[in-house]
Amino acid sequence: MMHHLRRRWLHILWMTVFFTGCERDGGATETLVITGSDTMAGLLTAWSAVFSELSPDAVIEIQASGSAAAPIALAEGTASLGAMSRAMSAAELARFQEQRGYLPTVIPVANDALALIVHIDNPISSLSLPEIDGIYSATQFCGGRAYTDWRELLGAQRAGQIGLPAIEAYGRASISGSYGFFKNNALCAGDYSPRVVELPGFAAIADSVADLENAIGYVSLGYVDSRVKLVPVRLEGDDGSANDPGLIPGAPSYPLARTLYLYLSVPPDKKAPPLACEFLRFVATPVAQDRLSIEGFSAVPDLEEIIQSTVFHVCD
Amino acid sequence: MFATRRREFVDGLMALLIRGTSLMVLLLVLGMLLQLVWVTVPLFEPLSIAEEPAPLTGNPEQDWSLSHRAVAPAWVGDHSVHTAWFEDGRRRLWVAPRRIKHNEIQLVGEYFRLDAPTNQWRRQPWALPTFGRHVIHLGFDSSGHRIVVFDGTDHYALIKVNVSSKYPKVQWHPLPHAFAGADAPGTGTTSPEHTAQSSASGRIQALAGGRSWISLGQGYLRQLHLVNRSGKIKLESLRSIPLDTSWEFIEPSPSGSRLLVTTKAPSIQLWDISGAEKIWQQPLEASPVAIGWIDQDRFYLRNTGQGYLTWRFDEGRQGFNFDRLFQPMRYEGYAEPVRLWQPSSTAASFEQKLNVVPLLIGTFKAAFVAQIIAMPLAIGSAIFVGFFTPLSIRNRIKPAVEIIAAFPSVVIGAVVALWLAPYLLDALVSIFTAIILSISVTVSLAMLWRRYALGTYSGRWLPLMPFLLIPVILLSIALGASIGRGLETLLFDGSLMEWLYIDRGVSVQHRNAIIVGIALGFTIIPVIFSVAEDAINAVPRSAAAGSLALGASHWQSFREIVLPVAAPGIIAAVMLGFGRALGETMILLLVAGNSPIDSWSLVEGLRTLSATLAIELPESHVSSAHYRVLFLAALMLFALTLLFNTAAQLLKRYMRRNFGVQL
Repeated sequence: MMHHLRRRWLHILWMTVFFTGCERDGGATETLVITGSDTMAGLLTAWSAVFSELSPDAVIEIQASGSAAAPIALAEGTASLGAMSRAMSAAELARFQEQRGYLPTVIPVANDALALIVHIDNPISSLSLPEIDGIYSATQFCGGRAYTDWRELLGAQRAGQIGLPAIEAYGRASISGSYGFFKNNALCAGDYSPRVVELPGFAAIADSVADLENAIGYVSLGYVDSRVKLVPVRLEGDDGSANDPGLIPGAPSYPLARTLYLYLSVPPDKKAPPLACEFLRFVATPVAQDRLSIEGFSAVPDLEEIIQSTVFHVCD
Repeated sequence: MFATRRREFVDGLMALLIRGTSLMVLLLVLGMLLQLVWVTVPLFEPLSIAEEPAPLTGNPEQDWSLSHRAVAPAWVGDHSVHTAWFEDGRRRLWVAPRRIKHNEIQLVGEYFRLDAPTNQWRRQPWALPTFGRHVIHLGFDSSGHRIVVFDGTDHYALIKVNVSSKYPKVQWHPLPHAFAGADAPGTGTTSPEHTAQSSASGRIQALAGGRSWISLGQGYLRQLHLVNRSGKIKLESLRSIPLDTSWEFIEPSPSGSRLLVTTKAPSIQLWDISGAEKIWQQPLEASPVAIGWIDQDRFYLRNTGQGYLTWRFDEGRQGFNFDRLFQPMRYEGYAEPVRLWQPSSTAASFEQKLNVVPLLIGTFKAAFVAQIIAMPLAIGSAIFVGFFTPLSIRNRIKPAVEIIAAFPSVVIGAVVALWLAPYLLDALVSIFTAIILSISVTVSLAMLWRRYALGTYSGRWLPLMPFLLIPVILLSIALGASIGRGLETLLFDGSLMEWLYIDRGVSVQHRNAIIVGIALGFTIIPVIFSVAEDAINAVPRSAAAGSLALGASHWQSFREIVLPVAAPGIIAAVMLGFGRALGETMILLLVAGNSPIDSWSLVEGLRTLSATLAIELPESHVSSAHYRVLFLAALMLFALTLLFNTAAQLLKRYMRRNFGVQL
């Protein structure tokens, strides 16, 4: 009797070990995997929380390692939706097409902007794009000079408030879409200086800038708070006179405004997975749109039409 | 009887299982090594190019021109109908010429901007200047803010795209190096059907990315690139490539890294631009009519009547050499040769900036500083705990120290990065004075004890005497810290970092090797302590007791009897600690700024091999050069840690064999 019991216990143990690996396919619930942008992680989490309430059977898995992971995960089929805080680059599109034979479907889901922030005591009033390029890049393709010291930008008098006047620039790692977006738009597609500190998230950048008098950083608009000072950006082409107040994020021609995207991989002769379609339809609803402003983003005009036409083409 | 057999069977099975699992682990490690080598080797394999047997469907020339439009700014058309366009997803510019006088052409343009909130293209008319010269090539640079114009007389001009200022002034500059005269082959000899191709459009061609152009001459080819020299953008010569004199067609690859060349001899050749070397060539039966690229890895050739021949690169083979990984190189847009680690999946330019030297420097810099901080502390306490304290106390202290090793490194990293780092840097001088003062106070107290009190007290509390030092040490640390603060005000105007930067001109960063070293040192202390203490403790106490009986002091006995035996073990402990420091990832990811600086300066940031792997593996395309270089980095990390760990094991074995000490 004891033997039997023990053997049965062993059986159960082995079965558990054996089947935990298979659980994913065998379960009744559906899983939607979204891979990509870290900027969009908060938004996607908020959306998926609301979405799960509406359809309890659905499980949404969000892997927010960075936008550059999205094209790879989509092409390899490990994710059904790719979240990106920049558009796919020509190289990424070419790779995707090479691997899958067709191009991915793209939907703009939210508008965002990158904001430049400095320590609250920093007297800088605005920066032009060549100045930003001079701080962050090794190549200065925007045409300005290189800046490594706040005294060069503020003059010795005003920079006196900053104890250590060496500029410390903070940014994201290359996997982040913001890294690529900033590179193409603020650095005139030049290269980052190797001295730029690369941190894994915007929160870490905001923390560092809040702590350090000599730091400057770029963050998504939702991460600007009272601990840091927002630096307006002067547009190139303006005379660059000292009185020019510059543009703040949200202004119509703010140069670092960007769109956040969701990418789908749908073969031309097939339809998208139903759960992905359901999620896309949900994104256009007012409930989901309300979440945008809470997370610090703004809505894409005509989003409902865009999503409806996409859903019409790729869904059943 | 039955039960015994059963037990034997179970015992046998378990023995087999254990042996099997250990063998599995060994095989797994070997397999990992093999996998690393397997992925890395194609990086160095020469490119192999094979002709594709299947005939090409569709017309590659049309497909190509479409993708070309999106990737590279191009100057398409013959000399009388130039139009050019540029699009980077946010800006779009279309340019067409208008003949106003016999020899004067005005270019008119339309400029579009993508408005972010509305996602709509806004059209803005923009008139290009009158050049007054015969323009042979016009293209946009990578930023989209600038147009580069070449005339037929070895001059170029840079024009800013600025919709608010009309008719900007054109300033012509001579090309950095003049190329051969107007009779260069390739122009004028082309048949009408492929004049539309950029391969025949002149002696200047744009390379993908808009950072550099090639200028073609008799027998050579020069790569020109835009460089910012202290605020002024200029076209400079980057390198020249010694081509065969009789070239017919030249077509850069979509990535701008390779050149497809056909010669009059008839042959087809492939050149690597950044290496300035020929990587492949094949004789042809007849001169082709057209050549071009289908995508990154495929190119075609059209013969009269025979249709298309296509070739393809073997996927994954990269043809790298060690110079690219270890030597400074001149890159597009850089004034000087540099060692650069900057892979980017977003860049239009495919120039590989994969120099691992900055990463190696970062790895060793962090490990060295960690070692310098951890070694004295760990070995000192190992000596104390292992030799000078009684077993009962040792058995309490040792697990306590070893528990530090159980701390997840991400916790230490987070604590140091978020909370400790700013204070550490402010208190750097204080930390060092505190350490120096506390050590000197301890040593002088010990000397005083030896001189005046030795022998007067020998009760059972004697072994506990050193613990009386704890308050003294704490006091001297506090005193040392305040002395340090005073010293900093006196010598360095209140801040060491500011003094270094402002007075000495040393570039400093808050996230630097010293901060990283302190955090990393904390994690390797238990590793070194544990092994070193084992080594000391393993020396038979009878040997030391013998020397003590003969009148040696504790310290003499330790120095002459225990240390020589335990030394290999202590060195092994240091090696193990070094191995651990090299492979540590989370702390470096969080505390170091991950800035791949090519400098040994301890007050600047660093990026290590392990952190790079953690950051970049998810974004690298399988079988790309970046992916393989990351695996090479993993292999280097594996080799380094294996080296140090093996050295440690050999030392331990040496100790075991020569001194009969059990470790």
